[in-house]
Amino acid sequence: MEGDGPIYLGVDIGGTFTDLIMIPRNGRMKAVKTLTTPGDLETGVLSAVRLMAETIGIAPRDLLQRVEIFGHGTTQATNALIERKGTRTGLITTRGFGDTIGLQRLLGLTVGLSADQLGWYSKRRYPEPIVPRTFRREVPERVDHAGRVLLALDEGAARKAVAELAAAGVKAFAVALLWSFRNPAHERRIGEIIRETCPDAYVTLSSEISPIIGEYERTAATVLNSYLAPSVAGYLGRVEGVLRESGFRGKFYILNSVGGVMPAREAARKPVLLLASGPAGGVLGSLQLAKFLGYRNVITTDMGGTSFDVSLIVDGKVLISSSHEAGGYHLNTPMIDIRAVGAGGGSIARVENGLLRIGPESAGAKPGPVCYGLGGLLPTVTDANVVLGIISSDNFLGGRMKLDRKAAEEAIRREIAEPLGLCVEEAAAGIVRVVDAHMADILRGITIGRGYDPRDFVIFAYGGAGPAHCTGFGSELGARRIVIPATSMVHSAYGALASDIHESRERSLLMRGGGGRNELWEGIDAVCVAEVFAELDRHCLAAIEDAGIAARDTMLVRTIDMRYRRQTHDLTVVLPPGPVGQDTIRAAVAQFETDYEAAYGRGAGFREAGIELTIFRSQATGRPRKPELSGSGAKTAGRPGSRNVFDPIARRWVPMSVWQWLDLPAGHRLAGPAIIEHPETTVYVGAGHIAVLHPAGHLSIDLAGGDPAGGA
Amino acid sequence: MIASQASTSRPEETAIDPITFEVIRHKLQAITEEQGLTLKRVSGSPVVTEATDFNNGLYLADGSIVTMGPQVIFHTGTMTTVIRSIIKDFGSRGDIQEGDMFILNDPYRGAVHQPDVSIVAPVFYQGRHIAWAGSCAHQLDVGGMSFGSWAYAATDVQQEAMLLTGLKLIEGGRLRQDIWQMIMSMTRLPNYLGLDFKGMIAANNVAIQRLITLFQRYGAPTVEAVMIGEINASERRFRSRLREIPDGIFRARDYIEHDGHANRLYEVCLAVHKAGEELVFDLEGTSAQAPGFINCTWSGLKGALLTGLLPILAPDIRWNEGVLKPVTINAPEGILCNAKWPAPVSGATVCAVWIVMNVSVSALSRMVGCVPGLMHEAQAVTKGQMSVLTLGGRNRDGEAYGTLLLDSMAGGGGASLDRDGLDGSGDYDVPRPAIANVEANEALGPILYLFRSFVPDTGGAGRRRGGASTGLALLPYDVDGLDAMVIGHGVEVPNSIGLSGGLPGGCACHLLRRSSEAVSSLLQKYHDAGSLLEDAEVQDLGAKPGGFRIGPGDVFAYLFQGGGGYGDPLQRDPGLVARDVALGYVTSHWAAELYGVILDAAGAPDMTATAVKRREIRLSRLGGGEMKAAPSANSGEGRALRISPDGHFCCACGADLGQVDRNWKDMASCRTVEPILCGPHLRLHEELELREFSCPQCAALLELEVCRRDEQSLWNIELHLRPEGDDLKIITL
Repeated sequence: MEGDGPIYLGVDIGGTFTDLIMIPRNGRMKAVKTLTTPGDLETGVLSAVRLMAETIGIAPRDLLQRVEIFGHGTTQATNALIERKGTRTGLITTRGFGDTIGLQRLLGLTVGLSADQLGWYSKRRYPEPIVPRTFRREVPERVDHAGRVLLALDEGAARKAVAELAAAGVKAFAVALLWSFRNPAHERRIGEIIRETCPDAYVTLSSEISPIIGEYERTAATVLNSYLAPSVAGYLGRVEGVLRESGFRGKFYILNSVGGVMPAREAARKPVLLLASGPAGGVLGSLQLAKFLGYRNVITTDMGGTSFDVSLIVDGKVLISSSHEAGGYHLNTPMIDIRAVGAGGGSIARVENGLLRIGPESAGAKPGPVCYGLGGLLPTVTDANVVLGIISSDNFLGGRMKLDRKAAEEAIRREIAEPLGLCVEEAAAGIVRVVDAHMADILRGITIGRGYDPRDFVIFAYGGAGPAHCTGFGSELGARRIVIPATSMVHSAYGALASDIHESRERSLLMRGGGGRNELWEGIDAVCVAEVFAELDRHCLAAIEDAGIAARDTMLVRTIDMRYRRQTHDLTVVLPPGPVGQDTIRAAVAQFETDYEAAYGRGAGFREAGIELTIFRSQATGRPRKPELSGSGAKTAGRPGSRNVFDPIARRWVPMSVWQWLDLPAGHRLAGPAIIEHPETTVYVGAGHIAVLHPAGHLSIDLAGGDPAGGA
Repeated sequence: MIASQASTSRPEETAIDPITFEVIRHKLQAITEEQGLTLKRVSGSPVVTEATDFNNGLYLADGSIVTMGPQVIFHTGTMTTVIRSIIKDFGSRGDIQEGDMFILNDPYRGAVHQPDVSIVAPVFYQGRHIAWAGSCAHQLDVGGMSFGSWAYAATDVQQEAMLLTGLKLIEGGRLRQDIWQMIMSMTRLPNYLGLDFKGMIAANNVAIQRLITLFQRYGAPTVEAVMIGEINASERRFRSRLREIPDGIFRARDYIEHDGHANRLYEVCLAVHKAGEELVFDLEGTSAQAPGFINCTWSGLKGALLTGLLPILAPDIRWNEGVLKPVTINAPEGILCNAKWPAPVSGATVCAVWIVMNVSVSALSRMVGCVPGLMHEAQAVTKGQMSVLTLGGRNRDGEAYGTLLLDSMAGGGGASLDRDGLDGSGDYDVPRPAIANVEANEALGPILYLFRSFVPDTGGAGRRRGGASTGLALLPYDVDGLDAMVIGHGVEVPNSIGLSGGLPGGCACHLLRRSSEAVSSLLQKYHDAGSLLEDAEVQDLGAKPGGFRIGPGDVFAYLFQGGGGYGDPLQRDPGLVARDVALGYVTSHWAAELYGVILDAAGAPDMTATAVKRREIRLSRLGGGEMKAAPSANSGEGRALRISPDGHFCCACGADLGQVDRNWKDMASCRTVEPILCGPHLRLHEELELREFSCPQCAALLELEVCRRDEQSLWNIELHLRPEGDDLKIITL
């Protein structure tokens, strides 16, 4: 049934499951899940491939031989960082500044504390250091803000530092000197010395991995890259090796956190770019889907057991942030802007002083919600859904797992209903309403907080718990439409398969324009800007070409981060395509002013202060040719089942239709309140909402009662 | 008194279902977060964007705090005073109208000091005044005799800065250009001030819009009921917290040197009376107000006491008016921390306020230290000092340049029962501290750093070590020179006192090295604090040198206080001391002198030599007396003063230290010690001395007290056990 054309595979390895998704030429997606095999992840990948081959009835080798592109999203880098299982790394810095990584600009001591916990000083801790002070060395040298050498590198001291660190068992080196992104000569020389002295050691130079102003974040990116590189390279080599031995001859791409996939070889050199590879998969999958469905503005929401990950697609592009946190450190490498909040199906509800509180504590996967019967005693959001009848205790995960509804009821009665003087279903409905409202607050914060109106966005909902809550938080937010992707349960794997090749290069450089009565663009040297971009473009395009993508399938986007002088918040402005000249600069500056007012209100900017250009970035996207998804092809809808569900908004029991997602034919519309079940998840469609199955298998839910089948 | 201020009429807390309550409650919190984000985005000042020296909040119509942001805590306790002052001045005339915003920086009307400008806005709905939204941010300059409005030479408040006593900056939704122009003409940095004001106005507007949306959806009475309910919930929780603590009096004392004119010593005395569900902060005994700018007004006093109170007593309670209700402040008028008009106060936040915060932390830590369930919240003082450095002049491109460098936040954290202090901790009043990158500062202005790094032996020694502090050196670069201004304290007063026998963290210092050397040679010479401290020609500038010029070749350097230690240093695990030495936070010399830990050639503790050295130190504590008991094994809960089931204080070794309602110090062994016995960075003002109190039996260090030579030692813990209560059960383990 898959014919004999090329096959595309995407795999995502989660903590519990390894998800594999396959799209053959006809676009009929297939997905399988196998148990993740900790410590030996490649085995889990291979068994997923075998299971897929079995599902479609061909030999694994035949399947792999037909695979054109194998995309992989990996949490290997993240896990190695969190578990502090990287390589022993030595850091070499400018003399006088070796403590930069230890001081962390003081940001480290509040990492991971929620706003509620910030005042709890006895909980403050610095993260476990990646490079303890004993593995740091300072060398005499100094470069100034303009890149001028004030003190030549003391090569003897550098050699001594390298030798000492090597003797201390350091296997990877990080070199991060002040202002090296303005003048990398000293860093490069130290790099050469390391390669001469320890040819087998891994080396990262800050001027190469993250040539951006801000020594703490640049040092952190450099250190993390070296710390992670050997283990990530080893891991990627093993996975690729296993696949190649089994017949795979196609391209092996790794999903990065920046906006696409990159060849495995490149990924192994820059593991710091993989740090959000897991959640990025879902966002990038959403990006592809948004393009296909014609949506320009999307809020992506991934609600799992413990966390709610949110990001934005604005005007057809994912938002990239250049400041984020990983493993207790702060990085300035570009990364998809994903906000993770501790709220999910496993969030624990409790009564405190007569008030209902939910999370941030989570029951996680173990012991999990009370209804799992794995020892959980505290009621969770999932328990509330089971009590309300939204999640079926008999048909959870397609019936593979029986849920103990009685126990869930009992826990909610004991912990919530009785202390609050409510009946059990009112208490459960309360939990759902509170969670939905909190999530809506979060979505409002990330949209309005960036100057966007949430009503201009379509919500994509995925992750195990998302489909049960999306119409709740979507209505609360005032959104009009929600899309639950056909791939929602393997959305990260889909992202690894579907994403474009992405390469970006950036450079930190300060240019000023305007000031006083001058036009803002006056004083910006267009020739210099053009030269900077020529260099950045060249690197990006070469990398895309190396990955085997033709120039005609490659798109280049140039951006400049700009700000009004004396203001510290940059906006990223996209340059018009084509050669860079005076007109391009003027257009970009005009765009900046428009965007600034949109984000911060009329008159927020201080025009007279002039403008500063800070970071220049080229991003090349290479589009491998891949089939689009198409639907499963059910012809007619079966008759829905029915069960009593307690409507959390109307607060009464209502008999609701229960539909099976996979049995719905394309174009089928149904009106809420209703339940749509899927072997991996449950969708709740609220009263007044209308759901329609898209031909490619996605579910669209219109919250305003309009026509969800209509275009964007 | 705080308790008596919240009195105007308000709707009753009405019955409201807990689900709606939680939904609305979360939205109020989200609004406050959005206020903070908005201000930060618009502002261009590093004080706001990097150091987060600002705060926002929502208030009831009478000024009661409903929510506050996680930024500088000083402000929020005080914005309510600002609002109440506006209500008093304008409300009586019926002059608080929809669309108005008021601006105020008068310390005698609610501001902590003049640079902390508040803009507050009444929130109306359907013609009724329901709430206030407020924003407050530290401004880089609000005029007056000195740059940055740190008027170290002032003798009265009129000289210090512009005084905005509560003006309608926005009237009926329109910005008053006349007022705006007047304000902008009085500052040296109108661009920064303008942006910050715009940011505060935008933040208030966001809050007003969001609140109105809430009123429309849920009805104003419901939202008000949630606001009041939140306050009541916090009050209930706080009162029940207070019930867990035995009654008694908990005292602390701290000092500040130099009032801007002369190096005089001032002291702040605090006695916290805890009885039942009430707390009284009594400032009796505090020095009379100073002739210089180091004083603070009532507002600063209140903000500072709260800053100590909230993280220690209410870390898990939402901070709002409810926490203030059981609290009363008694402070005579005309003292250092409740100055009488027109005393100068522009240095309040970094002077008197800081000292009040220190004594609040110390007294309350002594209090919770008596309660096993709360003693983990007790902390030695975190960087009990502040140093302000402003730089001004011309930038590389000839434009005016001025900045307030905030690197001095990177002092050491106070240690506590179960953990060392943070090495580089940020200031206690800032829940989420941050300092700027060196590269960011060098890009912004014509300066060059020579180093910014930890300084060894700055953390107070203790069973748990106080956090190490940092130091930095910089010089003017690319320009002829810069005008610097330095005001600080804690260079001759060890403010970061230890707890439970821990030693104070090292003192701060301000150094200047005049030279005509080239930058490259200075880079070679001065690459850490030690290289400057050992330089024979370096000048020690003292606490408040005020303004001076740094020219080409001149190097300015400063070091901040380390954190106080917790527990007797001789009880620290020698392995941990060895690790501190390996990591460079403690030198081997001071490992031996302070911790009694002798390391072998490989850096591992020599246990035999260590035992000998520790015994030697113990004997010296008893002044030649014999030890009558072996030091208790390093186990148990680690408190120096324990309470026996018969209501006595005792040492871990079992030695009796008297009834809990008597001064335990009368029973302890006491001697005066030289500062050099407590670490290389400890220095004392000529009027101060250090007194060591040890167990008369085992010589365990119980307290190291910083005290005026002519003063009696402080009776710091006095418990009033209720005969009928369970107090003893609560406080004995």
